[in-house]
Amino acid sequence: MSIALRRLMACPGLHRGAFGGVMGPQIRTVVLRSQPAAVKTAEDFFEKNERLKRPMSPHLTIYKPQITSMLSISHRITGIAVTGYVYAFSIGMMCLPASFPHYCAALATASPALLFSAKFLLAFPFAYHTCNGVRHLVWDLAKGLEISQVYKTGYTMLAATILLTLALLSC
Amino acid sequence: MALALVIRCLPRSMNGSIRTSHMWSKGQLNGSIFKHYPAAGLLAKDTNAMVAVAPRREMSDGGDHVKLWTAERALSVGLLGIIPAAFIVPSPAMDYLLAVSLVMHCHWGIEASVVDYIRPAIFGPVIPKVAIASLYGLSIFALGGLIYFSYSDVGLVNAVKMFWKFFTSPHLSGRGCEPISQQSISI
Repeated sequence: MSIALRRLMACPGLHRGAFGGVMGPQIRTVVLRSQPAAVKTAEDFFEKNERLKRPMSPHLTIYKPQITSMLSISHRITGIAVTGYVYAFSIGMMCLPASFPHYCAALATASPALLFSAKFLLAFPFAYHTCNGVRHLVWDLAKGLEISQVYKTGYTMLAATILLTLALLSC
Repeated sequence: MALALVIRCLPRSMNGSIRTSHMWSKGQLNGSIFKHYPAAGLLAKDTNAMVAVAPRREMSDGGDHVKLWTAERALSVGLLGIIPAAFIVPSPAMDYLLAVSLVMHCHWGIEASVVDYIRPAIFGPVIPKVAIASLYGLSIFALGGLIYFSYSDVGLVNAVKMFWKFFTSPHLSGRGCEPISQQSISI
C-alpha cells in the first residue's frame, strides 16, 4: 500500500499536502455519507437472463458423444420404446372390437420381411433395456462405478444384448 | 492497493460497524483507518448483494425420494424374475402379476423422463402438471387394458407367444392363431 495513501487516510484535512503539493487545488474534500442501499426486487437467475435477452451457452450440441452418455440415453430411449409398445397394445386391444387371435391371423398375411422387422423392433429394445438394466442395478449396489469398470461392463452389456436379441429372434 | 482490495470484500450491509477481525492478516493493516472513517466501507465497489431469493420451484421439491427409489429398484429386480417365469410357467395369476409389475415399472420410468425433460423452467407452470396427469391417465388405462386383456382375451404372455410363433414361420400363417397354452384362457 502506498505511503501517500496511508497519509491521506490517517490524517483528515491534511490531504492537500499529501502529494508534496504538486496536485494543488485538484484535491478537494470529499464527504462520505452513508445511506441504506436502494431496495431491488429480487430476480432469479433465469428471469435476469431473460430480461437481458442473453443467448444460452451451447451445451448438448458441443459435447462429444461418448460411450457412457450414448449407452445411458439409449437405456432411456429403449425404455420409452418398450413402454410405448406395451401401452399402445393394451389401450389398443381395449378399444378394438375383435379379440387378439383375429388380429393375429390378419397380421400373419404380411410379408416375412415386415414380420421379421417387427420382431426385431420388439426384441432389440427389450434386450438392450434388460441388459443395461442389470448394469444399472449393479451400480445401485455401489459396485462397478470406476470408469474402467463402466467401460468394461458397457461392452459386456452390448455383447449380451446382441446375444439376447438373437436368442429372442430365433425362438 | 491492498487496502482497496480488502475494502472491496466488505459486505454492503456494514454501515458503521465494521467487522475487521477476519481481514487483518498482516500487522501493516490496522484498524485505525476505519476508526477515523467508519464509512470507508462505502468505498467498496457496489456489489449486488441481492441474491436470488426464491428460485423457480422444481417439480422434485419436497418429499422423501428414498422410499420411491428403493421401491423402483425392488420392482426392477422383481421384473427380472417375473418376465421369464410368466413365459416358462404361464397361468392367469402370472398374467395379472406381469401386467401390474410391468405397467408400474413403465410408469415410473416415464415419470422420471417427464420430470427430467418437461420442466417448469422451460414449459411454464401448467404444462408439466398436465404431462404428469396425462401419464397417470395413460398408465391407468394401460393397466386396465392389460387386466381386461388377460380376463376376456388370451392374455399378454399368450399374445406374445402367438405373435412370435406364427411370424417366424409364415408358412404356418394359414393355420390361424391358436393360443399356445390352453389352460391360460380358462376363466
